[in-house]
Amino acid sequence: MRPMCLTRWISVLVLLLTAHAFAATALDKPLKDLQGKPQKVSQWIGKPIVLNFWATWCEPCREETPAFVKLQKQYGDAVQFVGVAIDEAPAVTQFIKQYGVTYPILLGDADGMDMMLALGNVQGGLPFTLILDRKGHIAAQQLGVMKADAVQKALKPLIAAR
Amino acid sequence: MQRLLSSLLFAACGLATTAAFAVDQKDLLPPTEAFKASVEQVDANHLNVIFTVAPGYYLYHDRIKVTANPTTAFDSTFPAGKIKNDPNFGKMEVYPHPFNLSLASKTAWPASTALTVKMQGCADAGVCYPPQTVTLKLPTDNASHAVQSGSKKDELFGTTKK
Repeated sequence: MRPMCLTRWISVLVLLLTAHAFAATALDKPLKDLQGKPQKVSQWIGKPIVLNFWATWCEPCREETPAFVKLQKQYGDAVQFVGVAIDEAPAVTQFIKQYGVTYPILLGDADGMDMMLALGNVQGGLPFTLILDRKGHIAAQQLGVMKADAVQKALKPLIAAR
Repeated sequence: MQRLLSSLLFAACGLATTAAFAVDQKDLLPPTEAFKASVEQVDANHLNVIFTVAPGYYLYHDRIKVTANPTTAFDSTFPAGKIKNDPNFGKMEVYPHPFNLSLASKTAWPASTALTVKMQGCADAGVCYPPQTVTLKLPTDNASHAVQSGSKKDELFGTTKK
Protein backbone atom coordinates (compact mmCIF):
# COMPACT_ATOMS: atom_id res chain seq x y z
CA MET A 1 0.00 0.00 0.00
CA ARG A 2 1.42 3.42 -0.86
CA PRO A 3 1.04 5.61 2.22
CA MET A 4 1.12 8.83 0.12
CA CYS A 5 -1.64 7.58 -2.12
CA LEU A 6 -3.73 6.46 0.83
CA THR A 7 -3.46 9.96 2.32
CA ARG A 8 -4.29 11.47 -1.05
CA TRP A 9 -7.20 9.11 -1.52
CA ILE A 10 -8.59 9.92 1.94
CA SER A 11 -8.22 13.67 1.20
CA VAL A 12 -10.04 13.26 -2.11
CA LEU A 13 -12.76 11.21 -0.41
CA VAL A 14 -13.21 13.89 2.27
CA LEU A 15 -13.33 16.59 -0.42
CA LEU A 16 -15.90 14.65 -2.43
CA LEU A 17 -18.05 14.03 0.66
CA THR A 18 -17.78 17.72 1.59
CA ALA A 19 -18.70 18.68 -1.98
CA HIS A 20 -21.74 16.39 -1.80
CA ALA A 21 -22.75 17.96 1.52
CA PHE A 22 -22.39 21.47 0.04
CA ALA A 23 -24.30 20.40 -3.07
CA ALA A 24 -27.15 18.99 -0.97
CA THR A 25 -27.35 22.22 1.07
CA ALA A 26 -27.14 24.40 -2.03
CA LEU A 27 -29.93 22.49 -3.79
CA ASP A 28 -32.17 23.03 -0.77
CA LYS A 29 -31.93 26.80 -0.98
CA PRO A 30 -35.20 28.34 -2.22
CA LEU A 31 -35.06 30.59 -5.27
CA LYS A 32 -38.03 32.44 -6.71
CA ASP A 33 -39.69 31.34 -9.92
CA LEU A 34 -41.06 33.84 -12.44
CA GLN A 35 -44.32 34.05 -10.48
CA GLY A 36 -42.37 35.00 -7.35
CA LYS A 37 -43.01 31.64 -5.67
CA PRO A 38 -40.06 30.05 -3.79
CA GLN A 39 -38.86 26.80 -5.34
CA LYS A 40 -36.08 24.42 -4.31
CA VAL A 41 -34.03 22.52 -6.89
CA SER A 42 -34.09 19.59 -4.43
CA GLN A 43 -37.81 19.05 -5.24
CA TRP A 44 -36.74 17.38 -8.50
CA ILE A 45 -34.34 14.92 -6.83
CA GLY A 46 -35.42 11.40 -7.74
CA LYS A 47 -34.67 11.71 -11.42
CA PRO A 48 -31.51 12.94 -13.15
CA ILE A 49 -31.34 16.75 -13.20
CA VAL A 50 -29.59 19.06 -15.65
CA LEU A 51 -29.04 22.25 -13.67
CA ASN A 52 -28.05 25.12 -15.94
CA PHE A 53 -26.89 28.52 -14.65
CA TRP A 54 -27.31 31.13 -17.37
CA ALA A 55 -28.27 34.73 -18.19
CA THR A 56 -29.82 36.61 -21.09
CA TRP A 57 -26.75 38.88 -21.38
CA CYS A 58 -24.52 35.81 -21.87
CA GLU A 59 -23.96 34.94 -25.53
CA PRO A 60 -22.71 31.36 -24.95
CA CYS A 61 -25.77 30.73 -22.72
CA ARG A 62 -28.05 31.73 -25.59
CA GLU A 63 -26.13 29.40 -27.88
CA GLU A 64 -26.70 26.30 -25.74
CA THR A 65 -30.34 26.92 -24.75
CA PRO A 66 -32.04 25.58 -27.94
CA ALA A 67 -30.28 22.22 -27.46
CA PHE A 68 -31.50 22.02 -23.85
CA VAL A 69 -35.09 22.83 -24.90
CA LYS A 70 -34.92 20.07 -27.51
CA LEU A 71 -33.37 17.55 -25.09
CA GLN A 72 -36.01 18.20 -22.42
CA LYS A 73 -38.73 17.44 -24.98
CA GLN A 74 -36.86 14.33 -26.09
CA TYR A 75 -36.35 12.95 -22.54
CA GLY A 76 -39.80 13.90 -21.23
CA ASP A 77 -40.28 12.84 -17.62
CA ALA A 78 -37.07 10.78 -17.51
CA VAL A 79 -34.90 13.86 -16.92
CA GLN A 80 -35.56 17.28 -15.40
CA PHE A 81 -33.84 20.34 -16.83
CA VAL A 82 -33.81 23.36 -14.49
CA GLY A 83 -32.46 26.80 -15.35
CA VAL A 84 -31.20 29.29 -12.78
CA ALA A 85 -31.01 32.74 -14.35
CA ILE A 86 -28.49 35.18 -12.90
CA ASP A 87 -30.66 37.92 -14.29
CA GLU A 88 -33.78 40.04 -13.91
CA ALA A 89 -37.35 38.81 -14.40
CA PRO A 90 -38.48 40.91 -17.43
CA ALA A 91 -35.47 39.92 -19.55
CA VAL A 92 -35.85 36.27 -18.53
CA THR A 93 -39.60 36.21 -19.31
CA GLN A 94 -38.97 37.61 -22.78
CA PHE A 95 -36.15 35.12 -23.39
CA ILE A 96 -38.30 32.13 -22.36
CA LYS A 97 -41.00 33.13 -24.85
CA GLN A 98 -38.49 33.77 -27.61
CA TYR A 99 -36.66 30.44 -27.14
CA GLY A 100 -39.73 28.35 -26.22
CA VAL A 101 -38.25 27.18 -22.91
CA THR A 102 -40.64 24.72 -21.27
CA TYR A 103 -38.55 23.56 -18.28
CA PRO A 104 -38.60 25.46 -14.94
CA ILE A 105 -36.57 28.64 -14.68
CA LEU A 106 -35.69 30.11 -11.30
CA LEU A 107 -34.36 33.60 -10.72
CA GLY A 108 -30.87 33.55 -9.26
CA ASP A 109 -29.77 37.08 -8.38
CA ALA A 110 -27.19 37.06 -5.55
CA ASP A 111 -28.71 33.88 -4.06
CA GLY A 112 -28.23 32.06 -7.34
CA MET A 113 -24.60 33.17 -7.30
CA ASP A 114 -24.20 31.78 -3.78
CA MET A 115 -25.62 28.49 -5.00
CA MET A 116 -23.28 28.44 -7.98
CA LEU A 117 -20.23 29.17 -5.79
CA ALA A 118 -21.28 26.41 -3.37
CA LEU A 119 -21.56 24.01 -6.31
CA GLY A 120 -17.97 24.69 -7.34
CA ASN A 121 -18.06 27.56 -9.84
CA VAL A 122 -15.62 29.80 -7.96
CA GLN A 123 -15.11 32.46 -10.66
CA GLY A 124 -18.82 32.94 -11.28
CA GLY A 125 -18.58 32.52 -15.07
CA LEU A 126 -21.56 31.49 -17.20
CA PRO A 127 -22.86 29.22 -18.55
CA PHE A 128 -22.32 26.58 -15.86
CA THR A 129 -24.10 23.25 -16.07
CA LEU A 130 -24.32 20.42 -13.57
CA ILE A 131 -25.65 16.93 -14.22
CA LEU A 132 -27.05 15.46 -11.01
CA ASP A 133 -27.84 11.80 -10.40
CA ARG A 134 -31.12 10.57 -8.89
CA LYS A 135 -29.81 11.30 -5.39
CA GLY A 136 -28.82 14.86 -6.27
CA HIS A 137 -25.09 14.10 -6.35
CA ILE A 138 -22.97 15.84 -8.96
CA ALA A 139 -22.18 13.38 -11.76
CA ALA A 140 -20.71 15.92 -14.21
CA GLN A 141 -20.21 19.65 -14.44
CA GLN A 142 -19.16 22.01 -17.17
CA LEU A 143 -18.15 25.62 -17.33
CA GLY A 144 -18.81 27.02 -20.80
CA VAL A 145 -21.21 25.69 -23.43
CA MET A 146 -22.26 22.09 -22.79
CA LYS A 147 -23.18 20.52 -26.09
CA ALA A 148 -26.08 18.13 -26.54
CA ASP A 149 -23.86 15.07 -27.04
CA ALA A 150 -21.98 15.78 -23.79
CA VAL A 151 -25.28 16.14 -21.91
CA GLN A 152 -26.60 12.89 -23.42
CA LYS A 153 -23.38 11.05 -22.59
CA ALA A 154 -23.49 12.20 -18.96
CA LEU A 155 -27.20 11.37 -18.62
CA LYS A 156 -27.11 7.90 -20.15
CA PRO A 157 -25.77 5.97 -17.10
CA LEU A 158 -27.90 8.05 -14.74
CA ILE A 159 -31.11 7.22 -16.59
CA ALA A 160 -30.13 3.54 -16.68
CA ALA A 161 -29.34 3.46 -12.93
CA ARG A 162 -32.32 2.67 -10.74
CA MET B 1 -5.65 -8.80 -1.20
CA GLN B 2 -3.69 -5.83 0.06
CA ARG B 3 -2.16 -5.50 -3.39
CA LEU B 4 -5.60 -5.50 -5.00
CA LEU B 5 -6.87 -2.88 -2.55
CA SER B 6 -3.78 -0.79 -3.22
CA SER B 7 -4.38 -1.00 -6.99
CA LEU B 8 -8.01 0.00 -6.56
CA LEU B 9 -7.08 2.98 -4.40
CA PHE B 10 -4.43 4.03 -6.89
CA ALA B 11 -6.99 3.88 -9.69
CA ALA B 12 -9.40 5.89 -7.55
CA CYS B 13 -6.71 8.56 -7.04
CA GLY B 14 -6.47 9.00 -10.78
CA LEU B 15 -10.22 9.05 -11.38
CA ALA B 16 -11.19 11.34 -8.54
CA THR B 17 -8.69 14.01 -9.50
CA THR B 18 -9.69 14.16 -13.15
CA ALA B 19 -11.41 17.47 -13.88
CA ALA B 20 -14.44 17.51 -16.17
CA PHE B 21 -14.66 21.19 -17.14
CA ALA B 22 -14.78 22.24 -20.78
CA VAL B 23 -13.27 25.53 -19.66
CA ASP B 24 -10.83 24.86 -16.85
CA GLN B 25 -11.50 27.22 -13.95
CA LYS B 26 -7.78 27.33 -13.24
CA ASP B 27 -7.22 28.96 -16.62
CA LEU B 28 -9.85 31.60 -15.96
CA LEU B 29 -9.19 34.89 -14.20
CA PRO B 30 -11.63 36.14 -11.58
CA PRO B 31 -13.66 38.99 -13.13
CA THR B 32 -12.05 41.51 -10.80
CA GLU B 33 -8.68 40.64 -12.35
CA ALA B 34 -9.89 40.28 -15.94
CA PHE B 35 -11.45 43.76 -15.87
CA LYS B 36 -10.16 46.69 -13.82
CA ALA B 37 -11.09 50.36 -13.78
CA SER B 38 -9.35 53.35 -12.26
CA VAL B 39 -9.76 57.11 -12.65
CA GLU B 40 -7.35 59.95 -13.37
CA GLN B 41 -8.07 63.68 -13.39
CA VAL B 42 -6.90 65.37 -16.58
CA ASP B 43 -7.95 68.89 -15.51
CA ALA B 44 -10.75 70.52 -13.47
CA ASN B 45 -13.44 69.50 -15.99
CA HIS B 46 -12.03 66.30 -17.46
CA LEU B 47 -11.64 62.80 -16.06
CA ASN B 48 -10.40 59.61 -17.67
CA VAL B 49 -11.69 56.24 -16.60
CA ILE B 50 -8.90 53.83 -17.41
CA PHE B 51 -10.11 50.31 -18.20
CA THR B 52 -7.66 47.44 -18.10
CA VAL B 53 -8.75 44.34 -19.98
CA ALA B 54 -6.62 41.20 -19.65
CA PRO B 55 -5.57 39.46 -22.90
CA GLY B 56 -8.20 36.91 -23.92
CA TYR B 57 -11.07 38.89 -22.38
CA TYR B 58 -13.35 41.67 -23.62
CA LEU B 59 -15.85 44.22 -22.32
CA TYR B 60 -19.07 45.15 -24.13
CA HIS B 61 -19.31 48.86 -25.02
CA ASP B 62 -23.08 48.96 -24.46
CA ARG B 63 -22.78 47.47 -20.99
CA ILE B 64 -20.48 50.11 -19.56
CA LYS B 65 -22.38 52.67 -17.48
CA VAL B 66 -20.86 55.46 -15.43
CA THR B 67 -22.72 57.61 -12.91
CA ALA B 68 -21.33 60.31 -10.63
CA ASN B 69 -22.08 61.12 -7.02
CA PRO B 70 -22.75 63.98 -6.28
CA THR B 71 -24.74 64.12 -9.50
CA THR B 72 -22.74 65.89 -12.20
CA ALA B 73 -23.77 66.27 -15.86
CA PHE B 74 -21.06 65.04 -18.22
CA ASP B 75 -20.44 63.79 -21.75
CA SER B 76 -18.76 60.41 -22.25
CA THR B 77 -16.42 59.76 -25.15
CA PHE B 78 -15.54 56.16 -25.88
CA PRO B 79 -12.73 55.23 -28.28
CA ALA B 80 -13.65 53.02 -31.23
CA GLY B 81 -13.76 49.39 -30.18
CA LYS B 82 -13.70 46.21 -32.21
CA ILE B 83 -16.83 44.85 -33.87
CA LYS B 84 -17.68 41.35 -32.71
CA ASN B 85 -20.33 39.35 -34.51
CA ASP B 86 -22.22 37.44 -31.84
CA PRO B 87 -24.51 34.73 -33.27
CA ASN B 88 -27.42 35.95 -31.11
CA PHE B 89 -26.70 39.60 -30.33
CA GLY B 90 -25.47 40.51 -33.82
CA LYS B 91 -22.73 43.09 -34.31
CA MET B 92 -21.50 44.28 -30.92
CA GLU B 93 -18.76 46.78 -30.15
CA VAL B 94 -16.28 45.29 -27.68
CA TYR B 95 -12.97 46.25 -26.09
CA PRO B 96 -10.53 43.33 -26.08
CA HIS B 97 -7.75 45.69 -24.92
CA PRO B 98 -7.15 48.50 -22.41
CA PHE B 99 -8.85 51.82 -23.19
CA ASN B 100 -9.73 55.19 -21.70
CA LEU B 101 -13.23 56.61 -21.36
CA SER B 102 -13.19 60.40 -21.29
CA LEU B 103 -15.71 62.22 -19.07
CA ALA B 104 -16.14 65.94 -19.77
CA SER B 105 -18.15 68.13 -17.41
CA LYS B 106 -19.12 71.76 -18.09
CA THR B 107 -18.47 72.52 -14.44
CA ALA B 108 -15.46 71.52 -12.37
CA TRP B 109 -15.65 68.01 -10.95
CA PRO B 110 -16.20 68.21 -7.17
CA ALA B 111 -13.22 66.81 -5.22
CA SER B 112 -15.62 64.49 -3.41
CA THR B 113 -16.79 62.87 -6.67
CA ALA B 114 -17.28 59.13 -6.57
CA LEU B 115 -17.89 57.38 -9.90
CA THR B 116 -19.91 54.20 -10.05
CA VAL B 117 -18.73 52.13 -12.98
CA LYS B 118 -20.75 49.14 -14.18
CA MET B 119 -19.25 46.82 -16.75
CA GLN B 120 -19.83 43.39 -18.21
CA GLY B 121 -17.56 41.20 -20.24
CA CYS B 122 -16.56 37.72 -21.26
CA ALA B 123 -13.56 35.49 -21.84
CA ASP B 124 -12.70 34.36 -25.37
CA ALA B 125 -12.78 30.84 -23.93
CA GLY B 126 -16.60 31.03 -24.02
CA VAL B 127 -17.53 32.14 -20.53
CA CYS B 128 -19.22 35.42 -19.54
CA TYR B 129 -19.15 37.16 -16.18
CA PRO B 130 -22.07 38.81 -14.38
CA PRO B 131 -22.03 42.62 -14.41
CA GLN B 132 -19.48 44.11 -12.02
CA THR B 133 -19.78 47.41 -10.20
CA VAL B 134 -16.80 49.37 -8.90
CA THR B 135 -16.71 52.72 -7.11
CA LEU B 136 -13.87 55.06 -8.02
CA LYS B 137 -12.86 58.11 -6.02
CA LEU B 138 -11.00 61.02 -7.56
CA PRO B 139 -7.26 60.90 -6.96
CA THR B 140 -5.88 63.42 -4.48
CA ASP B 141 -2.23 62.84 -5.34
CA ASN B 142 -2.22 62.70 -9.15
CA ALA B 143 -2.27 58.92 -9.01
CA SER B 144 -5.25 56.98 -10.23
CA HIS B 145 -7.25 54.98 -7.75
CA ALA B 146 -9.72 52.17 -7.84
CA VAL B 147 -11.69 51.75 -4.67
CA GLN B 148 -13.30 48.38 -4.99
CA SER B 149 -15.60 48.41 -2.02
CA GLY B 150 -17.62 45.50 -0.72
CA SER B 151 -17.13 41.80 -1.12
CA LYS B 152 -16.32 40.07 -4.38
CA LYS B 153 -19.95 39.02 -4.65
CA ASP B 154 -21.22 42.59 -4.06
CA GLU B 155 -19.00 43.84 -6.87
CA LEU B 156 -20.23 41.09 -9.16
CA PHE B 157 -23.87 41.61 -8.42
CA GLY B 158 -24.06 45.33 -7.95
CA THR B 159 -26.36 45.59 -10.95
CA THR B 160 -28.55 42.62 -10.27
CA LYS B 161 -29.53 43.55 -6.72
CA LYS B 162 -32.91 45.19 -6.47
